[in-house]
Amino acid sequence: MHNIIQGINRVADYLNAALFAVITISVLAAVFGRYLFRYPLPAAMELAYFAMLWCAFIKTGQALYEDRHIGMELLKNRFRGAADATIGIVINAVILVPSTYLGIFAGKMAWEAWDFGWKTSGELAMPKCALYGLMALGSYYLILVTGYKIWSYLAAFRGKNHGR
Amino acid sequence: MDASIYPSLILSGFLLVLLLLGVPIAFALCFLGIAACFLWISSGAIIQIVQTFYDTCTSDILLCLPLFLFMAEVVVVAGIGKDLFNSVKIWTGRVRGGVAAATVIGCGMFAAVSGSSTATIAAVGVIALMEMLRLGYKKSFASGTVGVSGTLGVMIPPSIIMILYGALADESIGKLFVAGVVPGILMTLGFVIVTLIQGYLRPASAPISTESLTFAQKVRLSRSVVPFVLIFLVMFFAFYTGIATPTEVAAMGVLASVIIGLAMGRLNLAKLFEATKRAGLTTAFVLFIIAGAKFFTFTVSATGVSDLITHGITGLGLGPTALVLVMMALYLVMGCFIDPAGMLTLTIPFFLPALVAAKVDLIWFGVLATLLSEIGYCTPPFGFNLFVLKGVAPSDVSMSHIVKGVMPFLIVDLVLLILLILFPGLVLWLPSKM
Amino acid sequence: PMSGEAWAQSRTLKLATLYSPGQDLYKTVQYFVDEVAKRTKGEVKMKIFPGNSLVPAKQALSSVHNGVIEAAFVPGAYEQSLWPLTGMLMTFGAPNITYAKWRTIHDPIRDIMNKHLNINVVIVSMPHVLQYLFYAKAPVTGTLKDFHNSLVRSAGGAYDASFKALGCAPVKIPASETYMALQKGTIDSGWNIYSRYVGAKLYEVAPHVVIIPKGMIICGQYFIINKKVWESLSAKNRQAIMSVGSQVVAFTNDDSAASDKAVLDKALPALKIQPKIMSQAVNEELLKKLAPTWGPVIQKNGKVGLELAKILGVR
Ligand code: NA
Ligand code: NA
Repeated sequence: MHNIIQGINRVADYLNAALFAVITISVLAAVFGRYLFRYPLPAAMELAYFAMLWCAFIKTGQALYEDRHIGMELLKNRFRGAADATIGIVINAVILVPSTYLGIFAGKMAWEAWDFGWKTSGELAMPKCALYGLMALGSYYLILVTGYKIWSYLAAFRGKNHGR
Repeated sequence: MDASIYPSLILSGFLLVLLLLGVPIAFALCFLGIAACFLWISSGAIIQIVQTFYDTCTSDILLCLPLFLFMAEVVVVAGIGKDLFNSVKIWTGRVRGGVAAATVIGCGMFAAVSGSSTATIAAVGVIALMEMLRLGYKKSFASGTVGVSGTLGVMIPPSIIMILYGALADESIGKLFVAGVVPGILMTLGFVIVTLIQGYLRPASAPISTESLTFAQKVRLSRSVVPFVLIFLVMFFAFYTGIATPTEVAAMGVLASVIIGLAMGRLNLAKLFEATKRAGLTTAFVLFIIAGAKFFTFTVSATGVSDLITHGITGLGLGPTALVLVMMALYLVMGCFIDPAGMLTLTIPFFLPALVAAKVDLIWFGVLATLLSEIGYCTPPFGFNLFVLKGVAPSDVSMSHIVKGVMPFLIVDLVLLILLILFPGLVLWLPSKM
Repeated sequence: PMSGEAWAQSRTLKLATLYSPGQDLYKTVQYFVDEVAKRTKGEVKMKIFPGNSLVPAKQALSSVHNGVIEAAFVPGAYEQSLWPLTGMLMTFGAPNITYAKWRTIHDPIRDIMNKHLNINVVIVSMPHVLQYLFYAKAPVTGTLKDFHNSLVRSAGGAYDASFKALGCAPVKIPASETYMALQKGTIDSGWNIYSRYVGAKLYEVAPHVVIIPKGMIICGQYFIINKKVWESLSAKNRQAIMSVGSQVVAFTNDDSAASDKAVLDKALPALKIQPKIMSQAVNEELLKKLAPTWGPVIQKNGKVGLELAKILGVR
């Protein structure tokens, strides 16, 4: 499981790097097109906005896996063994709730947008299912990571060590 | 007390509990929003979470966030930030707290091209924090300085908080910007003074350099500051000549730092890849916090609390000064639990009629509201800057370091608030010359 | 959690709007809500959430469609693919969209739109037709040259096509950065309704104004109610609300006309701004330039598009 997640994270890193290139180049193209040639590229700016959405949802699972989603951490590292595992399970159970709702509803909205052929308003007219769809995928990955973490904590309860 | 205040109190209470437990802030906010939908709104309203994330992550004004983060990471991996701070140390290293004071001034300068607190922290803060720690500054002092300096981004024009306020209150954004100049400068000075006092009182937290260099040596060593200054000038020039908007300026910053990094032979594909990796992680969690905060604010709003609070306040029959004081006190409390933009959206439409009736100057009030937003960015448990900083800081910098470090600076904010209330001229003099 | 029906019966409907007390169109919202309460004898009450304080205007259509909120007063510009017919009302140059004529053609248009809506939304009223003026940083002449290659801030969608047809180069920048972009010269110009031009203080950075008597007027704002909630109301109340919907058109229309007049006769002179008023000949030329933009919009909506075009007076 650990290896699968590592693999997904590596793919996410490459996609993310590509998206950063897209964001930077689109915005620069819009700026220079407008300033140098009086030829603004609204579609390029729109593409940058969508790339940001994809970037956030592609990286969010990795951020969670690497404990990079920020919290207060006042209790963290103060406990060992069963107490630590209990807190870990509670935290991840809380995370699981919004991740699941995001996944279900983004999936529903992606399906609806696909069904009706909805597009974003503007020059680019991006199919909305491509946007909601990726949000859904990112959320499913969050669910996977959370599930794995809970499972690892449960294993810790039984005294096993899963590399955590 | 009216029963419809209870949902907000309960939500705030549970937010505190979840945060203390260590639940990541973005998910704590979403979880409570969902719970609020079930309890007080309707389970059908939960789907709003998707729309809120969609709109936040495709938001036009937030686009500067990934770009500024990317720029900062490039500056760090290319060693440009290190050069900059080595030079700063040469000039200010003999004064305790001197590098911290220079950081405050640097953020103040950067605030003149960046409209947001988060972007300022993302761009300057990341670099400054790393380098101050490298120079031996104590964690709480270094992170406190950076966290609070970021808020200069919204007081010194341009400012997205002022734009938001101007749009909500139908006030001149140009005048608001001009009105922020004097308070912004005063605030920068105040922060500088705090860093120097801290350096004096706690010498151990702010090391001084023992090297003694001649003026000529100093100048020669300072040449390494040129790359960073060039990047800054590109952004400054692009904004003030109208080539780029504040959002787009961030992309110019990326372009400049990549070109300069490559020209210096300090960047390659692997390093750029590393920079996108780190910037991407931060982008993801910051956008998730903003979206979570918006969803949480939506549920708070749907419980009808705004109406209640505003009726409560306007029903007191207060004079203008007392009215403003009560509103500021409310903002101080609200700022602890919701994000400043949400706080203004939630209250300004309801406050306006009362403010107009009491003949309160709306430009002055706007600057006060901006100041309270700045404080809100830094107050726990929900302090946006605290989280961003925690996210970009090395892992041994803890949240309590950051919170402890920020506190002395908040005193400056409060003193300034009192000054601005006592002497409205500090705010209104400059715009009156327009 | 309650079913949609129980919800509608037991609660006041939440109505989201981007307007705040003191703004022109807030009066329209208040009038609508008051009249609905009066005409349904208090059975249908609505609570206004002003100034985007519940959901941002951008999300309001989706929120009503998804049943998150019950009602809203929304701009048609943001999610056009959800209700493509609104594109017909957002295209400049329709002869029948004028302050005087709109109230006579509103009801049939509303009926056609509701018949062909594919989302969980009922349009109750489209009260606000809005006349745009052109403002620029540099001096203007009142001819079509003013638009030529002008970098103009556009909200996208249907606006872009019209502005391009006039020779402008539409730019995508955040609404909140428009003021700064004009100030710094990032863009040259913009289009807006008279009261917004004054209200948002755009004259501070773009003091040159062109008034175009004919054609730069569209219908952009909609009172909508969630379909489930709508169907849970009694037939009598639905009828009452629809007739308030018609009534509010006249109210808003008179109000807009008066507000435009106040801007022209009082506000602009007080700001020492002398707008260039486009001559009839130039105005006709402008309408000719806009005419080709109608083809694709009508085509996109097929038969219904043709039906609507007839009522709008587009050939
Ligand atoms: Na600023
Ligand atoms: Na706070």
